[in-house]
Amino acid sequence: MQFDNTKYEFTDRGKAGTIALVVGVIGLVLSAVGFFVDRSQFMFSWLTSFAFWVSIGFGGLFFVMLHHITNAKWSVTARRMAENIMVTLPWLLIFAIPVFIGMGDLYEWVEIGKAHHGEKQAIHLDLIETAHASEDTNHGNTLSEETHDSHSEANSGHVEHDDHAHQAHIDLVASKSGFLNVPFFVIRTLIYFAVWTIFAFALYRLSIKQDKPGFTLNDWKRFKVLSAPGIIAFAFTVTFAAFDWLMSLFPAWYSTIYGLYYFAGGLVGIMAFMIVVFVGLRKRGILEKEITIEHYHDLGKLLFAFMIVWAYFSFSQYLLIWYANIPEETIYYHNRWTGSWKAMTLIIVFGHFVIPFVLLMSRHVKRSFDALRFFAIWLLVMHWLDLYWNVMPVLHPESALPSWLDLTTMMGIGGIFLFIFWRNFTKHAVLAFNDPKLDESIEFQNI
Amino acid sequence: MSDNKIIQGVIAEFKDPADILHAAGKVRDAGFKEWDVHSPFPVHGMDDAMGEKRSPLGWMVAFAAFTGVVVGLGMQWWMSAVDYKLVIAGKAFFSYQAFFPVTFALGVLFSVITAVFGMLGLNKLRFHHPVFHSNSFERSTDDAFFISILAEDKKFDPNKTLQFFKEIGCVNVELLEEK
Amino acid sequence: MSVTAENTGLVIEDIPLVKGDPDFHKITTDICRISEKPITKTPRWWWIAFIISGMLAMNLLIMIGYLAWEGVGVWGVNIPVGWGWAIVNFVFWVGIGHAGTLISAILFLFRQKWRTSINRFAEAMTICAVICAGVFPGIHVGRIWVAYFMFPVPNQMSIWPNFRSPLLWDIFAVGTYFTASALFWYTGMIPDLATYRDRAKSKIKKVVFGILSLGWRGGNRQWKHYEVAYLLLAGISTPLVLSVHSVVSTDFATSIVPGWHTTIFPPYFVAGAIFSGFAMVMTLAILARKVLPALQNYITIDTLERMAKIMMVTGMMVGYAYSTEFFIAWYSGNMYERFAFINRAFGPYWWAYWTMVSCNVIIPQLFWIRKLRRTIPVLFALSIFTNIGMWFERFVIVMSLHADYLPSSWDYYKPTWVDAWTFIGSFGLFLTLFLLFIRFLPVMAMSEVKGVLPRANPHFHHNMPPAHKGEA
Repeated sequence: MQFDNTKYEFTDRGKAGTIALVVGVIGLVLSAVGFFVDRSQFMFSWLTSFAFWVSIGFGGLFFVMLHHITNAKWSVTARRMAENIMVTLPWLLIFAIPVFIGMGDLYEWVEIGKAHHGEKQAIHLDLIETAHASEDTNHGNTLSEETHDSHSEANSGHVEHDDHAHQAHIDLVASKSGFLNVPFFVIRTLIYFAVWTIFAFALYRLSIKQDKPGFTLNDWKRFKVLSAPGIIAFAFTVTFAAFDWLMSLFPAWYSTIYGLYYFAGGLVGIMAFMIVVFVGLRKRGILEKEITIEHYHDLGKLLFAFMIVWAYFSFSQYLLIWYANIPEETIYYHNRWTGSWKAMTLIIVFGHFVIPFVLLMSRHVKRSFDALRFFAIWLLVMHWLDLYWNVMPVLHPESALPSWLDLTTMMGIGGIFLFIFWRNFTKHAVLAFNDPKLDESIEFQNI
Repeated sequence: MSDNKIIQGVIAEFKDPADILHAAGKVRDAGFKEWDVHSPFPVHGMDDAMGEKRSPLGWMVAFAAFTGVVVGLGMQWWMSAVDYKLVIAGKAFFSYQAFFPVTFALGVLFSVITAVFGMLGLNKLRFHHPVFHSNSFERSTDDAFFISILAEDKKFDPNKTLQFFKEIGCVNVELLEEK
Repeated sequence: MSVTAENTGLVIEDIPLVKGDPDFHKITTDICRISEKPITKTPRWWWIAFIISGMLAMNLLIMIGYLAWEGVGVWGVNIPVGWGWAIVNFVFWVGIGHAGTLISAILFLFRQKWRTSINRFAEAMTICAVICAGVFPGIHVGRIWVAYFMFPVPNQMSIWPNFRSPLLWDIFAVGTYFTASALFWYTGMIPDLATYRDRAKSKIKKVVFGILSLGWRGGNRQWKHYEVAYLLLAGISTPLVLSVHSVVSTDFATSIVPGWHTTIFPPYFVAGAIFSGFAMVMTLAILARKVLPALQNYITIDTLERMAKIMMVTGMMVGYAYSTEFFIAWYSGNMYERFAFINRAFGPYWWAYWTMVSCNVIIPQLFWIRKLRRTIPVLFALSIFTNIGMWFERFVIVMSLHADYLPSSWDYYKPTWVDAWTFIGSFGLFLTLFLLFIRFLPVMAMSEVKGVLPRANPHFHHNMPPAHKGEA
């Protein structure tokens, strides 16, 4: 790997890309074996890994758009990195294909939807109907039974309750079939990727144009013109992506904050990922002068801040559900407080928040490359674990059951992700060296 | 009191932030200890120029936050789970989930109070200070930049220090005398 | 000031933070003159405003007295709407009280230097608003003489308050918030009070400002701790700001009332609080620029435009929450949830719901147009719309109560004249306090504004041409 420090370009890409590609291909091949050996395990592991890498990708998109709309200066030097992460998004759509193929294994509502095909569920929603809600209405008043149902599925008890409760559960899920159905799910996912691709490519092209002469003031303004609506489109696509891919795994359950929760996890992911790559480059003498200790301090602060945001969203969800104690909602936490899931929950509470919170608070940690990288890797692992903790209890309700497919799917998607990232990253200058705010970014100092 | 006024120090005025930053470095290199730079706003880079250490306030606040959290959680635990137990909404006597907001609030309250009063304490503010005896010091909160060296300093000598300030390019210099 | 990219020759003009390139002394005089006027020379507008708002504040006291004497029956509350305007007003005022600390703390952490010209002012507004907010929990308990039970003091049965109740969290959160905001405000003001002390002519002013400024002497050994303290306060206040309105949201969201119990409430309330707070800062800033023309060079049209942008963003966050809530109400499959939201939009309070949506989501979309963001009358009108819309948001939420689980008890809530005058009176209290502030205390953080000027940078005159290094 060789780097030209005057042009900020790689003259030799080195082996990193090849290694990533090899790891990726091996991971994909092994995962493909898993698809035939243990199909449902493959699907759930795949979804976890997919959700993880997509969250890093959209994290990059968000970072870039946020940089532009806030007129930030310090982050100019980090911008190109984030831009190269966000342009992996279109490629990640390929990895959604297995999700489409295996939807039936992942999502309970696929089966229920098929069974209820044609049967229109009448939902009466005017005042009078509600006022006269009575025993024979399917929805609402069967809340407690429905929870018993999910509960008993896990414990295989309460046989006499099963039929009634199970039917209520099926009716409830079927009533959502206007939204939760196969074609619409696929279309929505395509829309999310389309939106992300449009904004990612447009911003990327503009950014590359900046390296060459002929970049005008109008081009400069376009960064903002793109980012402002971009953020709005982003908010809704990420929210619904979270609803679709993750929340509908347990279709009876719902939480309005869930989109923000996934989003915040992605923010932790992107900051951690960027820190890891930057420190890695630094160790090889790349961007030593441009990305100063002050930038690491700031990246560390943002990592810390986004981690708190993640904790804030998670705790808001938890506290409100715990407090209200409505069985149809508490089931989510109940399932994750059973068997070895309980240990996993505690690992996430302490590992994703308490421990890094106490240690990352220190200025010294944020200003030490090794310590900061350590916590960045730590939080990447925790971010993955958080997604795992969201997805897997559906497959393994009794207790967490690690599988080799968790590893191979991460290798597969991650390897290809890193390969694409590295290829883009080394193709152009790794620094937006022509940004008018670059000097200020390099010179800036924390108090 | 005798007619002889006690000399408490010397104060010199400098033109602008650049000059005072430069001068501060000189004063530091001359080996003075009991001196300070007075400016209407914090001048960027002055801590380095003066050779100042970082404020210990951060550690004080961290300790206060920890105390606040312990006090907050301890108080709620004792009141709800020890002193007078009441079953409310079927929730545990010690419901740590529900105790979080108050615990957090007290942690913040303790830290904020420590940050402000700790800062005031570390600043060693007092209503009577030699620099207030200057004739032009009131401009230090407006648009003027001063360096004061107090008589307590071992290297202090009224005439030499006056001379020293003139050498490093002050605009104005005067002795601080008790009135 | 501008910065240049060498290769392309692209020049990006940095917007100057203040107009007219004033020197340090001009900033001092511009701001000090506002409050240095002797009492006899107080401008007429101030007296008129002060007398009117003072009378309204008195009216608030009378309404509270009447409430204490007669009981909560004088309000429009009924069963099922046991929580009426008192809680609406409480949330409204606390929400407004979020802008000050947001500007001082969060914008500080994000290094938004333009905040220096409005932060003092916004912090003062915060404190006034939190005082107004504090009135309502005090009086809405019904029996005011037992209001002490909101504090951790055992009652006559030796029972401690219930720490598992969100209402108690409120007391701690809002109490802490008030203390923190007041300390933050005061800390920021110490150097400016020292300026007042040093400029004071009369003996009384010398003594008063002398004591208030605590012997501040602007030494770097003080600035050093001061800056760290400011940073720490900002760092601590940021989660505090977020937590306060989150806790306020739990008053509703921990319940099992449809339309209240939804997990997005904490961040949604925070966004709404910032939105409404900025609207109020905008309203007051525009009025202040009108009556105190000296401020026009500091609170520039660019400052207002930036505030408009923040309003636009937070307004859209609120819009995001409205739509997510609505979608999940349907998605939940829960009949009660679905009903609550359809009833909000098309039930008896449809007018409140659509007022809320229009004022908070639709009208702020006008801010997309740059010309409108820079037209003061438009900004003023839009800030008023937001103030109204955000009050209605809380009203809409509280009115979820009117149709509870038992249809036979459904009822329509109507406020009484006491409700109305209490609310109007709270504006009187708010403005009275605020007018006192702008008459006697530094309305702008002089030392901070001086500190962000290009000329405050020690490298300003040396090394580099100013065009390159300015605003660093």
